[in-house]
Amino acid sequence: MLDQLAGRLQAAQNRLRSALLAGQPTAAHRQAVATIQTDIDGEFQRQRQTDAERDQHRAEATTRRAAEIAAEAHQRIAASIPKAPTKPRSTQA
Amino acid sequence: MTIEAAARFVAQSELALKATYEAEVDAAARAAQIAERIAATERRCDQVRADHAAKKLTDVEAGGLFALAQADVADLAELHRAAVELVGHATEQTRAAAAELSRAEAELSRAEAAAQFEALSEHAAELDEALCYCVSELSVLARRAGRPSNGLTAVFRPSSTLSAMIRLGQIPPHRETA
Repeated sequence: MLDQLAGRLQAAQNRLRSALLAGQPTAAHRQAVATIQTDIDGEFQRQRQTDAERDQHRAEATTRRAAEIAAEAHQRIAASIPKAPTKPRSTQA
Repeated sequence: MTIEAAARFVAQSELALKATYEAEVDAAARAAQIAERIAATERRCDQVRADHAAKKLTDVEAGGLFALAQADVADLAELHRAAVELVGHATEQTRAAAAELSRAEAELSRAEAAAQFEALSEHAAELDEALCYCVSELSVLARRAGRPSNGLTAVFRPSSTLSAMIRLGQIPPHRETA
């Protein structure tokens, strides 16, 4: 999407340049360039937000998976240790 | 490394491997698509030859169409070469991610063994205390029962393994439990 907008901006800037050199009115061309630049800014913002959401989702998934792996490891350790011997009642008075 | 840190390392490595593998599959699919386009374009060349042979196209028409198709094949071949290079790069990334996951799993294994050592050390201390308590009780009971109670061997005969461990510092042989 950004590639397309960059292409459109280049074309609009070329048309503005041609109008300037030909002494033609430039208001419409300037408006077109400004509109495309606004679209580009919007697209950058949208992509930043998408990237941030994706990074957050990945961080949450990593935290959940890490907790799962750690819990499994602790369970294996607990299962490997025999029960402590029970102390018989003391016969000493 | 603690179990929690090692677990995080494994989780991150698993995610990275999944991402690189998906990128490799995508890159391979793109290269395959371009290869299919090349095959389709070559079929177009064959069709032009066939149409020219069947006099459906003039020499000029056939020459023009054939040149266009050949140019397409050349451009597609260049795109395919670049796509195959990307596949190679993606494959290397996947291999590196798999190696990283192996390292992470080795770290987890070490962390788990360290924690298990600590836990079993506590258990060994409990067994030590329990055995000492039992021997002490045996001595009292032996006196009450009118049995000899002078000295350890009168009330408790440790196994040769336990004796060797205490007297000579010998580690008992390891037995794999079923």
